[in-house]
This record gives sequence, C-alpha cells and structure tokens, in this order.
Amino acid sequence: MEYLKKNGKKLCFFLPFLLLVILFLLVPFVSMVKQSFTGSDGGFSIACFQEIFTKTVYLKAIKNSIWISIWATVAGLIVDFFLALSLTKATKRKKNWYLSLLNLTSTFAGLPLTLSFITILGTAGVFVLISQKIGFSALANYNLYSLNGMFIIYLYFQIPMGTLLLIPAFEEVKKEWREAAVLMNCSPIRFWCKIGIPVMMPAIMGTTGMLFANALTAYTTPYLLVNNSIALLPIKIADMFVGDVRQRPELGSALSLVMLGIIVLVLGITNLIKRKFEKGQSK
Amino acid sequence: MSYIEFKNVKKSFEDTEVLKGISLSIEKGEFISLLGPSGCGKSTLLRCLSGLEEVTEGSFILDGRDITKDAPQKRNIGMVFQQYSLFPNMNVEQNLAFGLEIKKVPKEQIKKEVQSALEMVGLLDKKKAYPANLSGGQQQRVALARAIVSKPKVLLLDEPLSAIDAKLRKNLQIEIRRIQKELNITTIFVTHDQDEAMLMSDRVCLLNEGKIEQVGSPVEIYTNPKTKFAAGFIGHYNVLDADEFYRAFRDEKTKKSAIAIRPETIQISLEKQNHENSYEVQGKIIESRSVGSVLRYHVDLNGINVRVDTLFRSFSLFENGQDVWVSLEKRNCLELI
Repeated sequence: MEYLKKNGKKLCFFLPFLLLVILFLLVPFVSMVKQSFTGSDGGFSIACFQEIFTKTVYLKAIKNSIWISIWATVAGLIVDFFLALSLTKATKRKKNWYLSLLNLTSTFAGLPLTLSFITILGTAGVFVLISQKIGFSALANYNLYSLNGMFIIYLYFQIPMGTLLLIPAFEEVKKEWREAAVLMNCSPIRFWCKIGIPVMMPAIMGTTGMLFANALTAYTTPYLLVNNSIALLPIKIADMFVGDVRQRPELGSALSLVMLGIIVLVLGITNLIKRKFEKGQSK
Repeated sequence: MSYIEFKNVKKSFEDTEVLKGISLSIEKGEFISLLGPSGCGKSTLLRCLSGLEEVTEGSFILDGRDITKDAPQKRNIGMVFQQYSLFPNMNVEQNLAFGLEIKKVPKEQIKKEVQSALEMVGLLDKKKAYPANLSGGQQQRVALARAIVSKPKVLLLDEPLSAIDAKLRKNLQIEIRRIQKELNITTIFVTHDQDEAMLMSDRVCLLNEGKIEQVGSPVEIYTNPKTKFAAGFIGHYNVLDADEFYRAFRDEKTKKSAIAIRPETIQISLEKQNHENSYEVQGKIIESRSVGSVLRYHVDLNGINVRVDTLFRSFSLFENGQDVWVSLEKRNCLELI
C-alpha cells in the first residue's frame, strides 16, 4: 500500500504502456503458444510440431527462409560495412544528404518496392528487355520470381537499415586509435581486423540479429513475387490463417513459434559473440 | 647539426595558414615544450613532425636525415595523444606488445620489453587490465609506456595531461620528466599550461598564431620576455605601452613599443620609500583578492590599472580605496619589441 502511495504517479504513466504490452504482445503470444499445442480434439498435442518437422513442404519452407535470410544478412552486412565506413570519411554535408537518402529508402519497402523491381527486373522489366536486345545474358535471363532472384530485393531493404545501425558504431572507432596504429606500422587491414572490427563487434552482432529477423519475417515481397510457388515460412504462416483452401490456425501458430525459435536462436548466438567481444571493453 | 631541425615549416588547411614558417632546432635528449594558446598551431606542428599531417612547405631533419616525405611509420616516432588512445579491446600487455608484434620482434623479447616499460611507468600489476578498468592517469601512463616500448628516436606528447585532474597531473608531470631523463629520449611536449611547461622543460618554445614568439629556458622566458604576447602569456606581466607607462610612472616617454613589469616586482606601502633607481608614485587600491599565498592588488596609477602581487602577510594588507605609494625598481621594467 505504501509502495502504491509512493510510486502511484509513476505507475499511472506506466499503466497504459503495460496495458498495451499485455493486450497486443502477451495475450496474442500466449494464445499462439496455446493454439500451437492444441490437437484436433481440443486437448494438448504436439501434432503440429510433428507435422512441421516431418512434412517436406514445411521443412523446405524453413530451409528456404533460413537460406535467404542468412545470405541477405551476410551480403547486407558486407555492403553496409563499407557504406558506413565511407560515410566516416565524408563531409558533414555529404553525410547528411546520404543519411536522408538512407532514411527515405528504409521506408520504401513492401508493395511499392516489389513493383519497382518488377518494372526493372521482372520478366518484362526494362533492364531485362534491354539486356535481351544487347545480348547481355547475365541480366537477360534474370528470374526475379525465384529464390535467388528475390535475393536482390532482400538485399535492397537490408542496406539502409543495416547502414543506419552501423554508422554509430563507426563513430565509436576513434581517430586516435587509427593514428596510434599507423605510427606502429599497422596496415589498414590489420587495424580493422585487430582493433576496428573487434571494437565494433557488439554493434555488428546487434545489426546481424536485426537484419536476420528482418529478412526472415519479410512477407509482402515474397508474397507478391512467388506466392506459393516457393515455400517460405511467412507465406506458409499467413496461409494457415487467411488461406483460401483450408485455414489451420493451430499449425500457423506452431509455424510462428518455429520462426520465433529460429530468431531467438540467432539472437542467442549473436549475443554470445557480442558478450565475448564486450569483455573488458566496458566497466 | 642539431638532432631535430624544423626548417621553415608551413601548413595550411584550405585557405587558413596554421603554421607560418616555423624554424627550430632541438638537441638530442632535450625536453622541449611547445607552449601557446588554443589554435596557435602547436598540435599541428607536432602532427606534421609525426607524419600524421603533411606539411605545405618546409622540411624536418631527424638525426641527419630528411624525413619530410617519409610515411609516419618510417619516422620511428612515438606519440602519446591528448585523449586516451589505448585500444579498448586489448589489455595493457597486448596494447604494448601490438607495435612490437608488427615489427616481428621475437616473442621472448616482446615479453621482456613490455615488462620493462610497465616497470618504468609503475603499472606492472595492471598488465592484464583493460583500458576501461584503468583511471585516466593510469591510461596515460600505459599510453606513455606503449610509446616508448619500441624505443623511438623522438617522443611526442600532445597535451597528454589535459584530461587529468590537477593533483594527479602534478605527479604525472614529475613522472614523465623522470622517465624522459632515464631514457634520455628527445621529447617534444605540447601544452597550453605555462606552469606545466616551466616545470617540465629544458626549453620552452612559445607559439602564437602559427609563429614562434620566443624560444628559451623556462627562467629566460619568465624573466626576460621579448614580446607583448610572451609577457602577457607567461607570468601574467603588466604590459603597458609607452604612453600608459608614461602616465602611470610619470617617466619620460620610452622609444620602445611597450614595457613589461612582473606584478611581484612592484611594492606598495603607506609611506614613500625613497629607494634609489626606482619609480615611486602615488596610487589608489581598486581591488584586492587572495590567490592562495599571494595577495593580488589592482592599483590605479593616474588612470592606469596595474596588478601587484604581494605575499599574504598581515602587515601588507591594504583596503580598497586606500591611498598607497607604489615603488618599482627601474631594472624591473622590461622593454619589449
């Protein structure tokens, strides 16, 4: 009672947020867990998980989703690293201009982004048609409606997000470290391998987790491009809730849990690496 | 030929000329301070010598060799930066060993060198500690050890104590000087603190707006400043131009542009002292303030405000508004260029 008296005001401000978390995060999550462990008779069952880990279509969806997410994350990180690095050397004006561009492109996702890519790289896309005319085979036969073809769009939406996340990490790499290293005859590659990247590793790992989750949960782009022709987790989950043929919310919930498990696993690994590199760096 | 020679060094950043033709000679084993206010070009000069900045014009000779065009790593120079420059992901031992590993020094020797450098700065017990777990002073001592571990020809210290609190700073000043003497390493120290420069240096090079104002031993610079700037920056001299001096001390007009008077060479009393070869004029106390063991008076001499420092003693206490006699030996009036 005394606690309430003391912290009443603070709790008043906290309450709406708590309510929001309970209603829109906790309740759906608990309901999803409950549903995923519910059998056709309404009792407790692990049949959904048995189905997921035995049926090829779901295993393929998990595999495809992990595959495209890993590659989109790795490739995105590499591009993001060099873009953010180049920004550290840019003038303030150029940096501001580029940051605005990144902010703009980071919001350009989903339907408009997919349609733009269809316009330029679809079957009748501008670049594809031009390439067919000039005989540039690499682009002439580009198939945007495949797992490999979709990769470019995944990479596109990973770049602004990853770069924006990495820029503050680059600012943490002090000029004095580079200069001290230069005086010790340390090459730029050695500097980044031994000092720059290890110092930035916590931020890189944080970005990795974010990019992976971002790619794994991407829905609109694969839905518009490949729909059910390529098995992917987000599309399979949606099908179970809003599918035209047969809705199976309990299987959808179980697939969602699997997706969540993959994200938690990746975040766990990145956190472990992060902690290893954080050792000693902060008090 | 001196060990280090700066020959007409000029440096411009776009349209701004930061160094305007610096020429300076430094002997082997000497500890010289580059002293001056912020923005006078002292750090830029140091960075140009280290190779971290390129000079626009002029050259550097180190141990008889022109190093102007050499890459920083080829100059064999050790440097301690203003801000903590230790690699945060490496412990103290690894920080010190890093440069030696690049030089491919055998592991056993690296161990020995690191041990000896850490002993010198008194941080052997901290060799496994990470920079984040060291105090500011300890970090700078490690940075110093890292700079000397590879036995450079010259040690450059770019305001290494500016971020350290006053008490620790005094200890580190003494420690840096001790290490420098022990290794007999030629050292260039950048600072904006005149007390620090006076305490530590064999010679002080006073810089202002990209030019050398005066070079000399601390005593020489303190007792015999050559320019208005030097007199104002070192020792808080009263700098009066010829006209002001004439009004204050009723002396004939001097042909020199200005006169510098150290505040502690002026005496104040209630009665005229009749000293020989002295100016004795009447004035009025405007303000008095105690600065530690010193009482600082501002005395109005015929409309000219003159600062006077006396020891804080009961018989030398005067009140604001009190009429006093001011006495100044003529030999303590330094004529400036």
